Amino acid sequence: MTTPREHEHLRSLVVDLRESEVIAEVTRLLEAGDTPERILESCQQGMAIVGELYEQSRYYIAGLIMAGKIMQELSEMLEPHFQQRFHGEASGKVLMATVQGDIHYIGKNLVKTLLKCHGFTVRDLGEDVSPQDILNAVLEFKPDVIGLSALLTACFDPLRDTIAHLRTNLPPDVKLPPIMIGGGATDDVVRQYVRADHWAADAISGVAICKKIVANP
Amino acid sequence: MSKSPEEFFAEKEARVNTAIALGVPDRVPVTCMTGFFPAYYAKVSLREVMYDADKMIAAWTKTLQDFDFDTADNPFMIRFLGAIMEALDYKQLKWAGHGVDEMSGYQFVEGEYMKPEEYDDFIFDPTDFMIRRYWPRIFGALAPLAELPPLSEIITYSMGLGNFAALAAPGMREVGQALIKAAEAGQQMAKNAGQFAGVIKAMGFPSTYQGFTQAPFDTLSDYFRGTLGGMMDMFRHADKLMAATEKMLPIMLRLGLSTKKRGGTKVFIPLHKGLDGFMSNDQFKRFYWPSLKALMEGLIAEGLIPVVLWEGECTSRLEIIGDIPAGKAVYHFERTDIFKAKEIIGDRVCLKGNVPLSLMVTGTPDDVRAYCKKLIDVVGKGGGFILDAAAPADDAKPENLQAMIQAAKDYGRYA
Repeated sequence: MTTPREHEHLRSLVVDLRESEVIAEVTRLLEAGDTPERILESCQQGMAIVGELYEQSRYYIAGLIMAGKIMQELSEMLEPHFQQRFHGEASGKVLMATVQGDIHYIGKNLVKTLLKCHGFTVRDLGEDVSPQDILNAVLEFKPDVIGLSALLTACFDPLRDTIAHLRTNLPPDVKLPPIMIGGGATDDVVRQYVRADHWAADAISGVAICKKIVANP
Repeated sequence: MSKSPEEFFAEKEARVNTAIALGVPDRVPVTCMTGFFPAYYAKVSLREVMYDADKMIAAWTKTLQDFDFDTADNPFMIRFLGAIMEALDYKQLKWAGHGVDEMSGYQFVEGEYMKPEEYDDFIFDPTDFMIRRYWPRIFGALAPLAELPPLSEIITYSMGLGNFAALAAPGMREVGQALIKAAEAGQQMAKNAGQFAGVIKAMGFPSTYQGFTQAPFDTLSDYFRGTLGGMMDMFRHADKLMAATEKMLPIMLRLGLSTKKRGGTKVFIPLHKGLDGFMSNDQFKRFYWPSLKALMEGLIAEGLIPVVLWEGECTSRLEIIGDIPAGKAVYHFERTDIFKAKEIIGDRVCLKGNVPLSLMVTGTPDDVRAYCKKLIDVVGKGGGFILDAAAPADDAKPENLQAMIQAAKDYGRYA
């Protein structure tokens, strides 16, 4: 049986983004007979601290990208060992997409990483997604928040069209969740132009907005 | 009596150059990186202007006739690329009619075009790595080059002459044909670029810049390792990333200095990965800034003017980036707090910008005018300022561009 001290060590390796040592330590703990649930819990605690450090501007996008990579590797390592999925349903569900006409994903994926650090379930429809595909996913996934990303100024109109499509074409018995936009040259002026509910200036405020929406539905 | 184009040219050039030297010109210069705006304005598709030089010249000429900027963009070198990219089956961009619709601008295809385990090969011999590894990945038509032996081993009768046999491998003839096609399209582009430079000058406009280079870190991260790779390498492969950046510096410097051979003075340097948020100030000081500073100093030492577009926000870097020779460069800011920049580095470097694209695209002329007035009053105070949109304004409303120009004329007089 492993000790709390060993888990504290694992947690701090995650926080310090020491990728190869994290992998080695997880391998060792699994071999020592530790449960994947317990290992995952320690790693997720580490990830939450990474998220906090980013929010405090002590970590940067580079660190968040690295954390996302470690999390992906951990998920691949641990998934075969247990049934439970690598997320918590409790924090809420966010549907994300980069709108039609735009193929950029880095900012969107950062928000996704950070949301996962905070226990959200995220469905990512990818890039260059049509309004109808987003609408279908809203009906099927029933998100608490819709996050739409656009880097290019040329995509202000597709962003507006997507939101109009959602507002117009959703069946009357389905309530449209709040829509948050972000990315590139978006700002509050653009938010008004496209008729979104929220604008996320960066990944941190994106998470803060999602948390607030879920806390006060 | 109205002024001749020569007089306009001299007046505009003096206005801009005085601001760059941190002096006080007759009024605040106003310019705009218009991107593909002229095509939208002339109501021709982007596809058409990228492949038809006459249409490109007509659209950009119309824009210059209607918008009285103090400098003008020559679009050919980075926009008349359709035929060249087509010939090479270029993979790193989607462009009008090629992956995106005919009215859409460029979209960069992020990717890991160099693997982390290939750093040593790049550092040992960047040219060899590019020809045999990088080009085959970014140009579909040059894929067979991956089968070549190292070119530096073809030395003399006793070393390497037999290696020419590799050029008989399957697909090499097609490589040759693709290169010839690209060469011819490149010649055509250079000819059109020269022709349009003449048009711009004859109309009385100095050109905004005449050369191009990038920060060594950005070149590696944008095109070779990808954004994700570049960011992760600061943790995983710090020493190799540093060594590769140092290797890239003289390449980027030589590219920038080629501006001088063409008789130019201004070198455009768009920056991407050094933004606030992407990396810490410690990482910026270690991985990003030293080679960028050396690049700018190298250009300045040869009498060239770096025109640096700090994309995104860089407010937290202001204390660091003022450390360059005074009055020899332009910093164009997108979202950086330009008012704070005026306080911190306004006595070192000419500031340019930064009317938000959201205003240019969705706002009204009154919004734009009000923002410009504030910029002129505060950032323009005492000279050393060029009014511009925050970044290339492809999708701006024409009336908003006019409002920006008019604001410089109405509020920007120093005398």
